[in-house]
Amino acid sequence: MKFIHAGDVHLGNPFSGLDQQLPYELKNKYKMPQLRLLQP
Amino acid sequence: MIDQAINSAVDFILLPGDLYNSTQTSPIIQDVVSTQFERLNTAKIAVYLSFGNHDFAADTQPHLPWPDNVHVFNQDVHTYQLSTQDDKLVAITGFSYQTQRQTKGLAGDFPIRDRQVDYHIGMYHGTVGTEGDAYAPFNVSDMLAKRYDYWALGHIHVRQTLNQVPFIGYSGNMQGLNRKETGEKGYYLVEENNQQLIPHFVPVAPILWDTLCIDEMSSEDELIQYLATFPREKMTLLSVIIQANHLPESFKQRLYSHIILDKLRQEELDRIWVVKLIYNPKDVLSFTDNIDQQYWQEAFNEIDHHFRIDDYLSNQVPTDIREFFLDGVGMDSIKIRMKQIIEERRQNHED
Repeated sequence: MKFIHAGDVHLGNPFSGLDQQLPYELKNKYKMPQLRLLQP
Repeated sequence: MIDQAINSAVDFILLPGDLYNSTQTSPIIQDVVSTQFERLNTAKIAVYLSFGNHDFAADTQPHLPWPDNVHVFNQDVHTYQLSTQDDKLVAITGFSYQTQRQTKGLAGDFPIRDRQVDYHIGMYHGTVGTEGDAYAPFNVSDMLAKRYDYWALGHIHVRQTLNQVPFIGYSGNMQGLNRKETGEKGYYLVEENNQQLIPHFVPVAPILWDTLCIDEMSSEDELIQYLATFPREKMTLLSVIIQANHLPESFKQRLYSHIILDKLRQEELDRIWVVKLIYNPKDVLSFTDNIDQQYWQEAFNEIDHHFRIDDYLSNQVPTDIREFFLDGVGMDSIKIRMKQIIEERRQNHED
């Protein structure tokens, strides 16, 4: 038996507004890293 | 995490609160969650989901239907049961927040361990505290009294163990959300060993937050060179604190006016994005002993210990702006800037 314990994923957190400071290239790649974690 | 869950053929996933950052979620996020949960459904991996203080009552908002493998806890403490691939019978008990604050501790409402199952697991979003505290206050002794095999806690973003055996602890969050949430972030892969449930940390955060303190620095070029050679394995959002006591005046002015910060960002340092560049000299508070300096010192103390931004925010300030300034990052940025202004005035006064 094995399972995963994953707390506080916080999908949709925009890094407390930090994403507005990031350059386009970074924003495009990392704007929502939580979403990226879930992408296949 | 979903990929690894499928590749490792785990039996189930526990999400003990704050899957979402807020109660109202965007259609994009819902679509991602639905797609990934459906992948788990196809792989016959169950999901046990409870809502916390950020996403309380999220399932009462419009959202895509949950796939059959997703089991959502409501406000009352409830127990689900499942059989694992190796025919272990597992009970999972939990609850969801219905409001942002859950001042009543609910550990007492959890049933005593079910002796008919092989493992009994508790899911709990909250903090150690006393009745009346905001986030479902509990005591470790209350949880131990239930004789469960594992308590999957949520709410605290720092990975920490409150009790080793049986495990009671926080996996932390999967991605640091601000400059105070430094270091690797991820989840626990829990496996049984000699009838104990043992968590193993799996790092997955694509971005790290870190803080770099520099004691000596004399020029912008030196700073850029220093950061350029700083080894990074992952993309890092870096706060740089220059603590040198003596900097050329022009350097300080360019620091305060963000010119150097902009320059660092334009350098496109490999896997580093400088979030903040702060000048915080070590000896800034070591004033000489005279009456003027005592007043300056009091001003610094006032900022550190008594200043509350909410005393100055009118009711008309939008909620998201209010929340930004009330949380650690916003509050820190104001305090740092206030100290810079006081320090500049102190130096002008001495001059």
